[in-house]
Amino acid sequence: MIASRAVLVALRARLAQVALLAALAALAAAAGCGGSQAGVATGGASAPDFALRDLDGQTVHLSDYLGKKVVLLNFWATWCTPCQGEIPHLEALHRKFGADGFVVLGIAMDGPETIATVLPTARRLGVSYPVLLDEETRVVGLYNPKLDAPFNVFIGRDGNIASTRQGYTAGDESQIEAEVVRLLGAAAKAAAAKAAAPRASE
Amino acid sequence: MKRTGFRKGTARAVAAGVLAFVGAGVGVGTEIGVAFGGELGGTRVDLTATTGAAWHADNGNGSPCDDRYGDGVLRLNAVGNRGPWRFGVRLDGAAFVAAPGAGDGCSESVLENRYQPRGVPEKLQLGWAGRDVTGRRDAEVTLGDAYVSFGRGLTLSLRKVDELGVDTTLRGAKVILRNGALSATVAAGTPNPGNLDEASGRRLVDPYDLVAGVESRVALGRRAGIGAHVAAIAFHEPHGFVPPGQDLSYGERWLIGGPVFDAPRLSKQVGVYLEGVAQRRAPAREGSEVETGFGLYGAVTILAGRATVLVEGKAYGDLEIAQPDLTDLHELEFSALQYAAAPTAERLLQEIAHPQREIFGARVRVDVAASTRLAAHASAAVFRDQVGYDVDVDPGLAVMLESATGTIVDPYAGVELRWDSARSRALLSGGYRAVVAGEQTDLVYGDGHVELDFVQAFAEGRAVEVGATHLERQKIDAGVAKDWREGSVQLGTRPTRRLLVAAGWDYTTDTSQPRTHFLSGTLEWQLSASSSVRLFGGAMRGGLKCVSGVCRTFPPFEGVKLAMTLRW
Repeated sequence: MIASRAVLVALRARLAQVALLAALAALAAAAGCGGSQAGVATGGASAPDFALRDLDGQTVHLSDYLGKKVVLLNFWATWCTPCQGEIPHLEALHRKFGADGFVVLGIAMDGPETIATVLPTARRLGVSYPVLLDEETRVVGLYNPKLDAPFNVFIGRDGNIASTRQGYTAGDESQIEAEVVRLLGAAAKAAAAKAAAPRASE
Repeated sequence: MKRTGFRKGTARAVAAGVLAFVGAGVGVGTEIGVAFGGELGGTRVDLTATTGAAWHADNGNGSPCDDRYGDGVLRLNAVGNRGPWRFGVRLDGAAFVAAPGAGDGCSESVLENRYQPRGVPEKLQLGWAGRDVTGRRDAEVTLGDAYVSFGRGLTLSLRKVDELGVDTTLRGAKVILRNGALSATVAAGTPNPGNLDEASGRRLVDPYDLVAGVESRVALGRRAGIGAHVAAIAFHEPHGFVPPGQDLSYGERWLIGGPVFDAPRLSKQVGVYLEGVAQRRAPAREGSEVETGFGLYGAVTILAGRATVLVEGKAYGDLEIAQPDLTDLHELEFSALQYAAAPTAERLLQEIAHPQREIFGARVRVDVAASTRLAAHASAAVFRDQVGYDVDVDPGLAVMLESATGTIVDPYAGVELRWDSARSRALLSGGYRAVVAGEQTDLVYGDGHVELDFVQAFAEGRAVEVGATHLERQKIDAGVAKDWREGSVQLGTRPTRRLLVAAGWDYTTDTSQPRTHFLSGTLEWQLSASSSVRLFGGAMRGGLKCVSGVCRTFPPFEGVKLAMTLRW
């Protein structure tokens, strides 16, 4: 076994060398490709881009929305009960402010073994916004490495992360809406005030 | 019981350690998170420190080797990006106070790799992601640690499952390429599991296995796609007996792969997913036979108005889920460490009798959104499990056990109500899973469950929350029938939006557990939108816990845990 460990150490050293060489090659290649990168409206400190498949099997890039809309990334899972308490409120916000340039991207953190239940759950909750499948927890690693559920990331029209929010308890939806309105600016404030007016008069 | 003298001195040491964590601005608890996010010259960096501290009192399991000690765990996550570049680092640290030792009557094997202070860079990652100007081509390159999953996990699934304490990445290189209708993923490296089991304080020695895999997919229009994936695994330590003096490192090699047909919108109303894998398992020892296995999985989704119907079918034949040889790695704590995960078509937390390697059957699930206030689901499944269950073939005489094919019947249903503009809700579900086997169709396993999740919201964020689970269980183990019941109740109230006060009650009549009732209390203070502090005190039931068919055993806990998560 000692011999085996020695071989192992040597192997790891070799692997490290190979990994370093691969890293340099990949970085060089990536740097060369950098010039062809799509012009995402970010100043270099934007929300990191990612690509995931949605429930229809189409690939969705975050960069399709960055710089154009206010984006709420909602990390959820079919096994998360508070998430299912929050989602109807996100759907309501999506419908209310969609025309003002707001979009919710639901990111399902279910693993491959339960991913088949994501669509039925989303339909049961009445979700109409895009739901993306992160069965590898690849995007979770970028935005939510602690794997909190639910976890919300608010991205402003400038493409930068404005704020984050973990968990959901009843009543949080008003604070979520306030953050969305803040990021959308004056037009959304007017829309929110208009929507609130009939309620106030009731 | 030589450590009964441990009292004030160690308590002070624990308190000092706890205060040191707090003083360091990190916090105390089983889980304490501190996050610092910001921008430095165009580079965004988010730091998340997750730290924990707990005091483990006597959990009553009869062993002094997991009692009366304190632990502190630190996880520091740094994630950053600058344009297409991103990086990630996670540093892990652990410290133990008054840990049990040989003087407490603990054997060398019980203490092996346990209660050892550590501080290591656990995960490292450097990546690049970008698209060309047309948006049709893009690439992601990751060097270091990356999560990898192919298809529905039958071939390869290295990911994070918090409930089981699993966090496995592939340390090496991973490249994802997409070009119009074509996409491919290539990954190679060595599995890098999270090394510390917080429940037991034991450290896992890296298995040093080697894994490489390729997945490709071609879109056939907008409605469907076909693909294939293959993975090769070389095990550093072969499974099974290794003759003394022989070095069989990397001698055992598995090859797993198969095709995929994926059409989430084959038509407006129907989606189809089909996946098959074949396994070739070549043992390390010369003269041993190569083994084979297969797995078939299919799912059909039908959208019918307000209803969604999901039909899942599976047929596994001698299918082995790849995992490292755990003989020397403490199987109990790390049994959930595996490199693949077969779709289970089971209820998420369903306890299963044994790994499903020879099983076929199907499940139908219907979800209905009747209105914004009322939703319901119902599910029924039938499986034949040919691994077998021990049944007494001659009741009345001496116990004579024989393995017999089991038939699993598993119906469950639930209803969900929402009111107060969806701020309040109640979810009630229940079901009964039965396994019968043998000619007399003996019930070898029965599992009835009822679950309730209830929230009544009031003005200004105040609420009352109730979560309850009750299980009626039956099992025939080695010819001996065993009935028991267990469950848990959580009662919580939020007197203000930011404060949760909760009481917990776990109960079990399982005689293998140290007691019948486990009482606890929790205080949670929401510091900000993404920051909280949680204090837990009391006892929690141990036992087998399964998530999506992957199971591990947790020890009972009694003591105090303080948890905090901070982000700003």
